[in-house]
Amino acid sequence: MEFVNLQGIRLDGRRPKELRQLCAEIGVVSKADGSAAFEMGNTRVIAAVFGPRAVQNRSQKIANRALVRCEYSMAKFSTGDRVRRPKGDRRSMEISLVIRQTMEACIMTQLMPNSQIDICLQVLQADGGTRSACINAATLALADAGIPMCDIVVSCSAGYLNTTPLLDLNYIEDSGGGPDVTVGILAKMNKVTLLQMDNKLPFDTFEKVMQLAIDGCEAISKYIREVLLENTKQLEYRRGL
Amino acid sequence: MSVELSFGEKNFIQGGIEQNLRADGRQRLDFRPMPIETGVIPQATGSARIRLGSTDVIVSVKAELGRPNSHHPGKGKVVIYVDCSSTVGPSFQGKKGEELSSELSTALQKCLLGGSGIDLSSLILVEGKLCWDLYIDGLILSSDGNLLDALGAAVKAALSNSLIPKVNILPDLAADEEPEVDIIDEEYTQIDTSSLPVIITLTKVGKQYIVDATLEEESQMSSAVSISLNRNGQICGLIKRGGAGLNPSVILDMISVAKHVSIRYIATLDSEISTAEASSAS
Amino acid sequence: MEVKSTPSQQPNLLIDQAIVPGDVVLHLSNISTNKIKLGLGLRQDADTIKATNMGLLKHSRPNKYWVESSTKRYIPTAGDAVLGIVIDSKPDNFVLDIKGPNLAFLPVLAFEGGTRKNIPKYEVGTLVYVRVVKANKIMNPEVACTDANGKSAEFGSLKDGYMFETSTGLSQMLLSSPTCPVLDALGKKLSFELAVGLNGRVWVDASSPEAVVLVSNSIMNSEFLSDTQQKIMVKTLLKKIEL
Repeated sequence: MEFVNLQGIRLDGRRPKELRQLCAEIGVVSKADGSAAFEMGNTRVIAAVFGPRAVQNRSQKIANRALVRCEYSMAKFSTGDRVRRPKGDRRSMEISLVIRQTMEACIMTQLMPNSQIDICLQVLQADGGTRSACINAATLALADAGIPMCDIVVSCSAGYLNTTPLLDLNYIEDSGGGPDVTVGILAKMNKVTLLQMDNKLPFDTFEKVMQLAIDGCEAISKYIREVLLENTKQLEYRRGL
Repeated sequence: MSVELSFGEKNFIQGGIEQNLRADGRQRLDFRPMPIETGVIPQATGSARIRLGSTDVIVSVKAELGRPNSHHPGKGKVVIYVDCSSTVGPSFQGKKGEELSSELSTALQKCLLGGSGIDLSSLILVEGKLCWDLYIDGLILSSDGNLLDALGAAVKAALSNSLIPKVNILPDLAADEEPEVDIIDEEYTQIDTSSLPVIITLTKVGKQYIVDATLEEESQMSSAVSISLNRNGQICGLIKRGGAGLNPSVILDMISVAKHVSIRYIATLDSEISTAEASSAS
Repeated sequence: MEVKSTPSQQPNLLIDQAIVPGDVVLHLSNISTNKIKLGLGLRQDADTIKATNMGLLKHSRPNKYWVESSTKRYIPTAGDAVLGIVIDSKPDNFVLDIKGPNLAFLPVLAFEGGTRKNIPKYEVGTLVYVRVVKANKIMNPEVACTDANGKSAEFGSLKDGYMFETSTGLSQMLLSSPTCPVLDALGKKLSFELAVGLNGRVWVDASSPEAVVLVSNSIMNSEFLSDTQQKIMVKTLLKKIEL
């Protein structure tokens, strides 16, 4: 299948190194302590953060840092065909774990011993890159909840199809059989906290693809930064401070 | 969440309802404003999102070709399934939300499908062989009480938003052959939702009943009765929840109150749906 | 990236500016004073000071820096007055939820003239106005129903009335001086009692339930309104009640 045509345009009209349209909103779930919606093209996720609060299940209590829990679930209507998997299947478990580990790297858990933070992620529309979108949404929601973080984590994926490195794969490209590199970085410190790849790739190409994903992350981090600053400014403006 | 209300609040909520004044300034039989958005899930046949205060639900309708049940060869199928997202609260993580999900799914199925709200025979394509299956999936994103009414309204909005593609059925069909179909692009039929009932839940707090209870108010309820009514004021389904027993005469009184409320409610819902349709079309 | 370089030239450039987690706020090498105090939302990383929360960077002379933000949860700080809900009682302590990362302890003797004989009977669900006495990250915070001089002041359980939860930012606004416009406008027309906890809980009581509903809704609505908008909102609400 041809994923990039001769003019260098992808199936959805993007150039190889172009991100999909980003859209983020803070405070979408009013009952949560912090929440955000994040869209990357047709992928749409909602993150809600609860806590820090006292640990509910005493046996899970950790004496020197906060317990971070994460749950990823896909809505039945999130994909083209209805999702028939039950809640908490293997794939969701794996993604929950990956997101939890990535977020734990930036939350300053040692400041809140004996407490618990819940991150709930709900995929409304899945069109590739839900993992990245969830991490980006979680970052926004954690910032909204006022949970101390050493930096903001952002994530983006890149792939390699038709001998072209492609940024931010959508569902069709993702299922095109090529390798898919998902990277999560700490934006300011410039450190990689998440790196996943399936499929094989020569070393020098891998370097190119990973660099492309990191560039994507930087663009996303710039956007997330703007959203957060805008949110603070709104508060300040309305308060007439 | 887990923290209980203090005594003062409990008294305030109960006393306020007694005096026809609720914590958000509403009267007993007032609904919260109900903004509706339709077409929120592009990959679905139809979808709608409804917010009632902090209650936030999304319903999507997906039409798939299927085989009619052998007992009802002349009818299509409608399946309603509600999922409770973990974003509602950590107490709904994992499988913990399933109890609520299945309670709501069954309640919706009983209230909406019981009174022939959807004309199932209109979904049939080839009798006994081919029909449309409508999968109605609800997702609760945030809960501040009155989930059933919100879901019922969202199902109605999502069905009105649904466009079912027209199909060409290839003729000359042998008796035991599978029918072949062509889906015609850009030609759709709409589902008739005019006879679909609405659900009105009356929550009994003290001696009085209220509509559209918030989570705080629901925590003070003695029992709740959900009544589904159609445009003609006919009762299409009824569910009683909550522990305390009710006097049969009270139930009849509640039904007449619900009937009275439903006239206004159906009108509001209709106008909200048509505004949503107008804005999503533009 | 540009933020990294600017504070090195002008250390105070970021004051009153919006910042996000990970931003470098100060370089220690540029500060003339040899001691600075960091408040909520800042931390030291080698020779830089970085933000851990989003919000506005605030500075008070000579050397205090903190991040001002509005959240729904609360990080206890000694000296804050908060509203707690009793969720358990132990022989030595009442256990209170104050919306913090941990449950707070209210020692049964932490009342004015408190002795073993006159321990108040707080049942589960009682709303208590308390002052945070000890707050650190390792232990559960400790609260008391006395002011710093051991007097009961206004602290203690709140009976009747209505409590609602807002954000810490709104609580701070309600407690700021001069009196915030919404309270000012309400106070001119109505008489009511108000207890504001810095943990984002607000308790209202008045003689009539209408007044309680009006005051609580005006306060909840005011969070994202400017001064004039607040006054107009209160005025329209007051008109409704007169009808």
